[in-house]
Amino acid sequence: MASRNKLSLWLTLALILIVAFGVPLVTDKSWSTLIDAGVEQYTDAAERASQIGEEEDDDDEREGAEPMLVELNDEVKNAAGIELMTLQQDLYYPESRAYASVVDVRDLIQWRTRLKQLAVELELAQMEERAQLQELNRLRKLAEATGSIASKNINYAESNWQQARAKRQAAELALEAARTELTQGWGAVIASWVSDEDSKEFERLVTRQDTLIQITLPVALTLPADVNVIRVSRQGQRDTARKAYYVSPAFVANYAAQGETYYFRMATGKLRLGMRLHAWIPRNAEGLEGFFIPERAIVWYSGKPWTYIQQEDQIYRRRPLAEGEAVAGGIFIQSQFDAGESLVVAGSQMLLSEEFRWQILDEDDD
Amino acid sequence: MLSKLVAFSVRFRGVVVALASLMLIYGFYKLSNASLDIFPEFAPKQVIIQTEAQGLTAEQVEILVTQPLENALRGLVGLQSIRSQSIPSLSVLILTFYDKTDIYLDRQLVSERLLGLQEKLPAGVETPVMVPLESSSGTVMTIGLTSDTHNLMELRSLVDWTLSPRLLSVEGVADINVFGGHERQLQIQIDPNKLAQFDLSVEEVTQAARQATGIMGAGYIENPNQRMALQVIGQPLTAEQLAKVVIRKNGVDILHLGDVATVKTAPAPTIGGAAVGTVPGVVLMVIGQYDAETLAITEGVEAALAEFEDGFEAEGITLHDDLFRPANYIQSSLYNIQEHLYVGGGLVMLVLVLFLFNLRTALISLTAIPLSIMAALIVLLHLGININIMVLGGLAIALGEVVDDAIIDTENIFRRLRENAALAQPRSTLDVVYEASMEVRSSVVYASFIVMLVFVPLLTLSGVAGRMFEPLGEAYILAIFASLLVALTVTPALCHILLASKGDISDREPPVIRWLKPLYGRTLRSVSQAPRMTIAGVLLFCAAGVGILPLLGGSFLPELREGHYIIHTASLPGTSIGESLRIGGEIEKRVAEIPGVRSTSQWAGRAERGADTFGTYYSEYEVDLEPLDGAGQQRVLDEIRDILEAFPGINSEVNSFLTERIDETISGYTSPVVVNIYGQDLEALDRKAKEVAAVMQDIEGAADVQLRAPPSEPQLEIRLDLDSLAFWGLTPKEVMDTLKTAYDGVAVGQVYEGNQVFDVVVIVPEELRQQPRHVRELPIRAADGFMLSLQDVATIQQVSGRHAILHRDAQRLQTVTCNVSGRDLTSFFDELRERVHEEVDFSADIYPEFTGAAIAQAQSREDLIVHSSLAGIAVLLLLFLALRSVRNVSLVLINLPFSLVGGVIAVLVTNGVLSIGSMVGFVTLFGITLRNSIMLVSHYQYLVVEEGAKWNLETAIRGAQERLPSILITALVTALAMLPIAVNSDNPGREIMGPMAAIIIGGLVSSTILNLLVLPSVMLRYGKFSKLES
Repeated sequence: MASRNKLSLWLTLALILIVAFGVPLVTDKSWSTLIDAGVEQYTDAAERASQIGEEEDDDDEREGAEPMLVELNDEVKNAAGIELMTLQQDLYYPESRAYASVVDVRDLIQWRTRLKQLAVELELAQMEERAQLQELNRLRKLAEATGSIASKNINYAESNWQQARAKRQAAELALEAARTELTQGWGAVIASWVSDEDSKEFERLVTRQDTLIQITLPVALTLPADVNVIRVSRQGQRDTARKAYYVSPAFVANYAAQGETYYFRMATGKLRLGMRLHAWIPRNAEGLEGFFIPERAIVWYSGKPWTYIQQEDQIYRRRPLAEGEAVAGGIFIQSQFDAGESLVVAGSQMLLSEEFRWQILDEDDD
Repeated sequence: MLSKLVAFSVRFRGVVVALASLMLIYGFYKLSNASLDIFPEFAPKQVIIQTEAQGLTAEQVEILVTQPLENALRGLVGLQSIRSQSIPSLSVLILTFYDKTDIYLDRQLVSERLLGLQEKLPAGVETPVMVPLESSSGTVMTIGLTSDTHNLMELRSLVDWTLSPRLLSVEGVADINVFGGHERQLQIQIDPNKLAQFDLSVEEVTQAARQATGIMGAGYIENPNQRMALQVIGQPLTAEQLAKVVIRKNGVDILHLGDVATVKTAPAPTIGGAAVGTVPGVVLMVIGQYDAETLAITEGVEAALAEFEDGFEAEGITLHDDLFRPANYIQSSLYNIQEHLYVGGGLVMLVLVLFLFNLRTALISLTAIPLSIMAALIVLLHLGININIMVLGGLAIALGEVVDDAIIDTENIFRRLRENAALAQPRSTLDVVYEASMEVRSSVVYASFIVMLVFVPLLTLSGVAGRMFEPLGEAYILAIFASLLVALTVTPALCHILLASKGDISDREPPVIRWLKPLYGRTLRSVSQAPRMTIAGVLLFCAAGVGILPLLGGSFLPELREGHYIIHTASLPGTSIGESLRIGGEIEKRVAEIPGVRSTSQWAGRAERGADTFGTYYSEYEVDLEPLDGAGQQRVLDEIRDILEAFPGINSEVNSFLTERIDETISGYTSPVVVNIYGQDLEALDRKAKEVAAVMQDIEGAADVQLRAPPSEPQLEIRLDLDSLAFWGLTPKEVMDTLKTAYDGVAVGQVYEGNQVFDVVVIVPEELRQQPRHVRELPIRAADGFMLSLQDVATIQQVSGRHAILHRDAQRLQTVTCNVSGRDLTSFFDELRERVHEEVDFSADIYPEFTGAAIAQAQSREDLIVHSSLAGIAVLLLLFLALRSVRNVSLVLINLPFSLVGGVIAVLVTNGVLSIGSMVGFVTLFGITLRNSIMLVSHYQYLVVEEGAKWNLETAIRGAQERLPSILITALVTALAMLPIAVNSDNPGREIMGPMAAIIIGGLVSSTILNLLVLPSVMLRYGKFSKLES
């Protein structure tokens, strides 16, 4: 037994020795290098695994809305010619653009004439009725008092009176129908101007001191309830636009535009019939507070507009402007920014290039 | 035959000398009319076709323009490959023909196929043009114009109509690429709001403008007496006149063009911009014709520019005629090589006088230099090869060798004459000269042929290397061949003429030889006594040399010191010209501050017919230096690199001009492993490429795996809403026409001003062509006259589009590249191939191609090995013919590794980089080493066989001592002739030859030591000479 133990001990020792010397001989590498290699392989694998995790994170970051940072040192910053602007809060009245046209008021004048005519006719009918009635009453009194009046005559007068009454009623109806038609066509407000003899508004329209315009909103828009004043321009330029005052909804749609229509009144006589105008309709009665980002600060990337803010001395951050509103000369945005922040107004595209430098290939490799 | 030639030359020496003089005179005459250039034409035979398709996106260009062109051009005779690039507004096709084809015939074939193709292209696409055939180095000169008093439009008009035509008339000018400035147009800038106001469509305005500006012939009248042509004049030519054109007449109401549009002269939408030293201006590149002479064209262009100088000055226009002048490099290179020739020649003369101690023998040897070189030049010029740096390089390395044959001959004749003079009964000079010449004849002939043969593989190199180094090889071989002829004819003739009088021949050896010989004999004796130790030492030394070899770096060409650098920068695609110029301005400002920089200029985007077809995000800069030496130029280069590396948002590269051109010529990716994936569906190609990249990444040894997707660029996608269009009664074409007119402009006619013709274009004003919102708000007139915005009938969003679509052999492709580190390429390729096929599923219409620089290099290496082996066998045969003993041949061959060691050490000492020039150096070295060994061994043979000496130590030492002068002189002469280039190699004109020279000198030192000390003892121990073998 003991000898067997001894033998196995010797065999084990021999095996250890064979392994200890044999492996380095066969592999041509010392034990220390073999161990180092093993450790290195492990750390490499671990590093690779962690990199894979990081890469996925990177992808998430790229695909998510989280923009990345660009870091430039002072020397580079100066060389790159970056210009900054301090952000200041601004007031902005959001507006929608609409089409407008000058309305022909000759129809209104005709209406007034017609109404007047009908009113006169009514008056005549009323007078006639009154006269016939008086005649009838007189004949009746005479017949009761004296009996000298033939009943035939009374009947005749009554018939006349009834005819006159019917005429009066017809005139009344005609006037009423005309008024209804006018109101139907032009709305109550304008109809009242037409109907009202002393209407100053009608007077000003007729004397071309004022102009009546019809606004057609884009199909998706309705006129906010509190909007009484809009701006209208002949040249399509917002800065030369003039005020127009709300009159009433129009009942006639623009066949082509199909949006809601409204009448507005402008205190000018320079507009001519048939003129095509542009109108700006405020969407809010009150101004919005936010920031105006000028066009030269904006870069487009991945379907959205962005701009760069100097976050720290050497760090620039890309901020989305997608929530902002395109306005003349830039984008107005209410969120994302604070007053006093430094906006990059020259060099945004260069910062974008720096951020996505990995996308720039060596140009000679074609 | 050779003996007859020698006999003839000695007998009719006067005739031979007269013929030689005549050749020299003729050579000088030819040389004075020869053209000079930098490099030989190193570009492959290519025809480039560019088609401008203004306004089309990359995909539209690919399908509508590139594809029809490729289909039409496939299958041309001699066509090697077609590559194409479709980028926004431009299609570029590069047709590469086999080197053996005639480029003019190739162009003829291409132009025949192009005929009639225009009809198949969509309207608005211009005629496909072949880029003018230009020289490989391309640019002959870069000049710029800036002005404080004239705007960019005026400058550009001046260039287009006055300067360019004049420069194009200079002989040798192929084309002028004009960058920057504003191309002048008469623009009818429509005001969209006014169109809405007046109920007008864009089409109506375009029609009115077209009718007003149309110019056509009116025919003639003819009566029995006369014929008179009708000429209509008075069409509107100015903006004011055009504004008066009637668009609509409605009773008395007349609407003029000026009522709805601003008619004015304005710049056309640009494809590029330029600045000179940060000032916006116009930059012109003068392109040289194929095979034209840079120096002569430069002088012609400069003479033409001088005509403009006064006028420009008077007008306040600054002409920058020195932005880049490649001729400077040629001139300084020539100057440097000339200097080398003088100094080298002087040193050669000095050695000859010192060792021969006889002015006449020195002169006789020296005459071989001009005669051989002139003969080589005459032949080259008659072969139609222009003189360039490579030709001069071949001649320069031959300089030290062409004199060798003459030296050996002269030295032997002189020695025999000396011996003859010492005789009591001297023989006739004619016989002595003839016999002495014949004595060395065979070794001279064989040695020269070996020296020439080792150069032959250089002539069979493929690609750019072949085209570059072929003239060098030809010049060298021709010069050596000429020197052999001179040694066989002129040298014996001159020897007879100059050395014939007995009184002049002293029977004493020259003092240096007298002093050296015993010293050498003693050294050789002691070395011969320990042959084993000597051989062991030699082997050790060789092993060390071979060990160093892997430590050396490699490059195609060394840094060329042209005194000029070209910078490229690329930003993210989509970067505007303005921003590119702004970034460029900042870079230029900083580069200009580097001491030694003389001028800077920049261009962004591209020029029409320009060689570089990049987008507006790409810029190239010319940086011209003051005269600086190599080290100074390197310092500037380092500083430029520092500036560029620090600059944000750009990828950059700096090269000297010629390196740049050569890089451009070596087309395709330079990565060792390239997998091209071909297919039809771009998206599928992208996906497969990503999968292949993932597999590649996973393979052991893969480094820098890159997906070579052409970069994307921002686009504004206008997706038409067909329902909305139907609602408004519009057709898609009406909307597209309006868009095209608004943002791209529609040319409706032309107006003339003197001989200048300008397009009349309907377009919207520039301020309305800037922002995405302008596009959204673009007015579109509906069928019933109602004005809409574009956004009412289309969804508009910014997307990423493809910037370029690449084709190879008319197929779309996507490429993945990588480098390999830590394992051999063959096994990497095998594994890659196997795993890609296993792990990536390819559909029927997608397939991969495994290629790369490694494969191309392997092919050319194989070619080189085959050719070198053939040349090697031929050399061995020649050696055998010279030595008549296999044993002796193999002993001579052991000299080769030893000479290699000296060369390797020289590389290590100079810059540690092996270039193709170094290869040439080694090849030359082998030739020279073999020649010297032959000289010694064949002399031993002569002694044993002819003179009947016994082969022992005494004979070995005697033979070596007798050969000492010629071996030492030829080695010294060759080494000293090279010395000026080797010492100052980092200077213009010497960059390529410098490393060669250093290797040759280093190798000569080691091989001469071996030749003189080791070879005799090796021969003594192992060599055998017998009459039988002779």
